[in-house]
Amino acid sequence: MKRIRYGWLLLLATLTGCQSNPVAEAVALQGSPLKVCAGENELPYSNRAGEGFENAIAKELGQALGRQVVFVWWQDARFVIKNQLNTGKCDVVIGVDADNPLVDTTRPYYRSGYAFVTRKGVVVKDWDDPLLQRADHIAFVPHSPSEIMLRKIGRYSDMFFYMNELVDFKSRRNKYVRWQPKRLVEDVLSGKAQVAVLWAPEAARYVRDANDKLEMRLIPDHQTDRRGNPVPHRYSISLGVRKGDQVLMRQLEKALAKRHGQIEAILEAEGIPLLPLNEATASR
Amino acid sequence: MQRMKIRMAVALFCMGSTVTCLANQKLVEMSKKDTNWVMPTKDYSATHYSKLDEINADNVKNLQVAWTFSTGVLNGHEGGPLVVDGLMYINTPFPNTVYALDLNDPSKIVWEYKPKQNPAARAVACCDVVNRGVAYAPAEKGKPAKIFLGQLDGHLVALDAKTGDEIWKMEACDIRVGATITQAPFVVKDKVLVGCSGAELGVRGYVTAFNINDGKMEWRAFATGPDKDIRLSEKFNEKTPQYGRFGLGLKTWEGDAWKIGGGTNWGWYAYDPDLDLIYYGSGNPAPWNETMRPGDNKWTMTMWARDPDDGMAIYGYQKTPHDEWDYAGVNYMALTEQTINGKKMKLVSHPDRNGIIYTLNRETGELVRADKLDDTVNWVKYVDLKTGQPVRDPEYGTRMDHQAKNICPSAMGYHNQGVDAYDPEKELFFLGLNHICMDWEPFMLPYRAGQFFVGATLNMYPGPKGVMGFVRAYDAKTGKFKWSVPEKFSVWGGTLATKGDLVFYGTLDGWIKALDSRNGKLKWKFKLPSGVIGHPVTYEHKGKQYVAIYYGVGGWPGVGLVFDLKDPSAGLGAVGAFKELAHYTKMGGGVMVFALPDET
Repeated sequence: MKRIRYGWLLLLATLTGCQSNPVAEAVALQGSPLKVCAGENELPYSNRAGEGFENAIAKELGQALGRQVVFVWWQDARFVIKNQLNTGKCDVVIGVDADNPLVDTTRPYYRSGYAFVTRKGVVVKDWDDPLLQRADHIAFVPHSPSEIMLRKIGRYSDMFFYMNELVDFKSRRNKYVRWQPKRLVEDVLSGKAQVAVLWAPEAARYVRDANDKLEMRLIPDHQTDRRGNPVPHRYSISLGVRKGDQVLMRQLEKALAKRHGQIEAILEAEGIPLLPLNEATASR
Repeated sequence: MQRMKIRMAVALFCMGSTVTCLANQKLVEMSKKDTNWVMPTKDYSATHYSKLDEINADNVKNLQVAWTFSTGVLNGHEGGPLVVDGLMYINTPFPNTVYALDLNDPSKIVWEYKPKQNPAARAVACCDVVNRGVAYAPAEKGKPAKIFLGQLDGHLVALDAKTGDEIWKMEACDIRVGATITQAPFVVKDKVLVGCSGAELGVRGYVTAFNINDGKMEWRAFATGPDKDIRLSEKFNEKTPQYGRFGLGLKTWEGDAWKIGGGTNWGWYAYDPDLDLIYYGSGNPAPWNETMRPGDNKWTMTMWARDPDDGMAIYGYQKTPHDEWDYAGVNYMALTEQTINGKKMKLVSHPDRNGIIYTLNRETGELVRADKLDDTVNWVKYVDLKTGQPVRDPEYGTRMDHQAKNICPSAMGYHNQGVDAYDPEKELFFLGLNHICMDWEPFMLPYRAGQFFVGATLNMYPGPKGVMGFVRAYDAKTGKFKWSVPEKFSVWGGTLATKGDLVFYGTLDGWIKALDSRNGKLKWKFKLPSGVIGHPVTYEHKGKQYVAIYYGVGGWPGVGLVFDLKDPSAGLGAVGAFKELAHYTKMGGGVMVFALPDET
């Protein structure tokens, strides 16, 4: 009950401001901008030029809240939560796992999965596919479910050097090294890699833009590691806020509900295969 | 049986023709002459000690510059020059140019060799683009004397020592998998040995022996994997079964993780011609994140004794099983003969990155002593001499669910790649030490989609004693330090000792210093154009003693200066510890040679 009343008040305030004095509204917006934590070079999620799908989602949310969106850029993902979100330099992270323990999360707003990216006509349906045993190169991102699966099918060690080559042999210690999804997908396009295993939202636009030369296929979510523990391949994604920031959390929940259609359109335009949020899953 | 036959054949060949053994024997003789400095370690025992005493504790204060030479390269200059029969050979970091200078007229370059290299090598090297030196092999009947150079791009090159002409070139390390050469090659008998760098990137470590005359690969011994690959002899650890014997290169790894398990060796070798064994250490396991590689990860971090003819291992002692700190066990091996507990023994001593100086009976591999290089070493409480096992303190471990503060030593170790000196008369080691500790903080990215662990940040800073380095006189007989001198910065490159009661060394901020080796008193210092990460050498030319040293700051401690890094956690944490260095010295690269003034 309390939540609803608060929401109404907010809406009223915005409406009255809007009708009475546009200048005052702009000032009011500037006074309480929505500070979004975002990578300055993290396509397809975000970049300074605003080309990422999370840039677009953030703007939708800002409009829904009637707040100006200010992107607080990071170059190094390592301590975004600790040094930026938790210190109040920024207030919201656009995409985190729905159960991410580092932050408080909204209800999930989309769900997708890991996928095999191949050249058109090359079909890889599951991790037991013989092509994965034959492939010269399998592009993947370390520390992701694909690493666990590659270990299981015995291809991790012989893909290790290729994995390092994909980031020009940069060491990951003391450094944030990003595997650029674009480069992984391009290696499939050029034929260097026979398959790339990626979180579908990371690969989507590059597959979409490949002139129909590539295909992307979600991996079934029934995977287990060598010891039989489940390895989830599908994830629900939420907005993340500072732990305990209930006020912003409620505002964002509302904004998500309000802009549901627009956000889904952004994700669909990106080419992301969306799964039902209430999907029954082996894992989460 | 087959093996026995081969060994016999080798032995006969050696005695019969003398050709293959001559090189070795000649090199032993040459290393005894103080007009020469024929290998980076001075001699096969790695004493780094000279019997010259023209320059001594009384007159060193008069030392002055005799001549200088700029290499034209700005990155960190590790190692030191070789001096052989009136020529000085100078190596440089990437592009790995080699210069030969005539000591009669060092103002003119006799020859220079500029290798054409795969430029990718530059990007791959973790900690600057250093090179630790060249190796020399004397002439044999019909075959010229040679200089061996390890190029950063993984090639080993044999050059004519008189002309600099290339004789052969072999790929020893594959740059395409991130393997580079930074090590100084090592000549034993008719073979030249070299290892790779790149454990950081999962390179599976090995040492390769090539024939000095034609570059033919003679053997290759890995640090991980099947016993056959590691080349374990039937006698392996027979006398020290507590260290473990067979099958462990596979069993102490999960699955096939040994294939990318690291254990590269990029440090120094020693050789005992009587026992006919080579000594060296294998480096850290990979990946550096320990949670990814449960097990002891044998035989990374191991002190090896191998037969140089076939590479077969006689023993191996793993100092840091399941390394969590990057205490790469590649540091130099010093061979001495000393009487410990009333018993005269052939020993090998090894000041390790992990903060322990180990002394083994080098015939049997038995552990004789394991002393802390400083009482602040805390990852380990003590080393059990019976089992050889370090007894750890879990508080200072690195795990993904644990933030560890004040781990001593840091990943740089209390001793790194420097080559130190041993004075056989005083029976003292003069150790150039680091005193840097670290915090270890695992990080997980805010996203995404089940990425489970991404890395760790090391923050390094001066240790509890408020300085970053020491020079210490260590007595392996008692485990005591006779004296200890603090240094503001790490003593990275190593020390040189002479019969003139002197210890020379260079500092990161660019001083060359001479201490009285009897008491550690500073006797002389001179500020060089750039900081030092190499070691001084000394030689006699035309009856006069000279001391030579590379300047050129860089290497791991200087990565901040070399690459202009500002983030204190960048460069594997080196920038934080050495930020201050930029106020004292800048990049440069060259040789400075000192001598006493001529009497007039």
